[in-house]
Amino acid sequence: MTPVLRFAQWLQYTDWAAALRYSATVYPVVLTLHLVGIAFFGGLIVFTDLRLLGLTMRRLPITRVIDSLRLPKQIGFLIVVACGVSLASAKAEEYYYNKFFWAKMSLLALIAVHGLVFGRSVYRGRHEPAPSQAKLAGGLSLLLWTGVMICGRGIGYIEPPLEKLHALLRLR
Amino acid sequence: MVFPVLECFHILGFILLAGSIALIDFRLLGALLRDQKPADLSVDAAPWTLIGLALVLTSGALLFASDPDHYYLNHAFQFKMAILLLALAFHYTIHGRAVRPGASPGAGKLTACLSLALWAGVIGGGIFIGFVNGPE
Repeated sequence: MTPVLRFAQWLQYTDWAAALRYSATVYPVVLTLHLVGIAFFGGLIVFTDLRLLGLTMRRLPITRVIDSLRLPKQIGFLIVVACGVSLASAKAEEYYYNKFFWAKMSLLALIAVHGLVFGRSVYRGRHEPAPSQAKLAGGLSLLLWTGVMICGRGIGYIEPPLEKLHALLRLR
Repeated sequence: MVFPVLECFHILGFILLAGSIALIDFRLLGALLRDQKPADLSVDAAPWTLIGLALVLTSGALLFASDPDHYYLNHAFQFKMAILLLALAFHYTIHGRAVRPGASPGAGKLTACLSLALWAGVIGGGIFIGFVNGPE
């Protein structure tokens, strides 16, 4: 058994994860918070990207939009991640066998790399970024986040390998 | 295969729809771009709100058409449709008035909170469709 699988099994038996797994109401409430966060704060990411692409708020400098939206986006990201980690913990062992889950995690890692690669030239530069750099960063960001969204939805479509699971699935 | 693809367009659509409105709401609450007039931001956001609305209505109608009986009897779906109508009416009337120059900041904050709550309600209704009284 791999350490990751062992960790997943430990995680799904923690009180919080088990309670979430077997609750008919709390699970969809946390899922709702996850998606409301995605809509409200993911919307801010989309608007940052649209500004980088020159498709909205063109009268405002890019640096102004990025700096002003940074804190709300960070707060939103924490909310979405907290819900996401909870949801994943509830089905940790199932998700270990889920290709879409791992694709989503890989894309999130790529987004971190994206932030580093364009950090100086676009996201944390003191000067207005060159339009070509801004457009490249904005376009890539939109593509990567769209990929995260598609993989996130895809997670729910993969049938878990029932014979390998240790936790009881929710009855419904 | 068609259903999950439609769902992705639906998610993309509501991110644009609710996200573009949330941008204005966060401005009304003073959380971002404070040197910008809410009226100017709402002009920036409006076309993306409409694109999002077109996406959710088209993909939503097709998702509904895949199994109408499953949806119209579902309480979460009925709730979602009611809140959606309310949210849209609110957005194009009261919300539109709250971003006008000269509108009171206090009323703006209240409007923003109501707007965020309504759109969260629509999304919650959508999520719960999969978790309540499915007739099958």
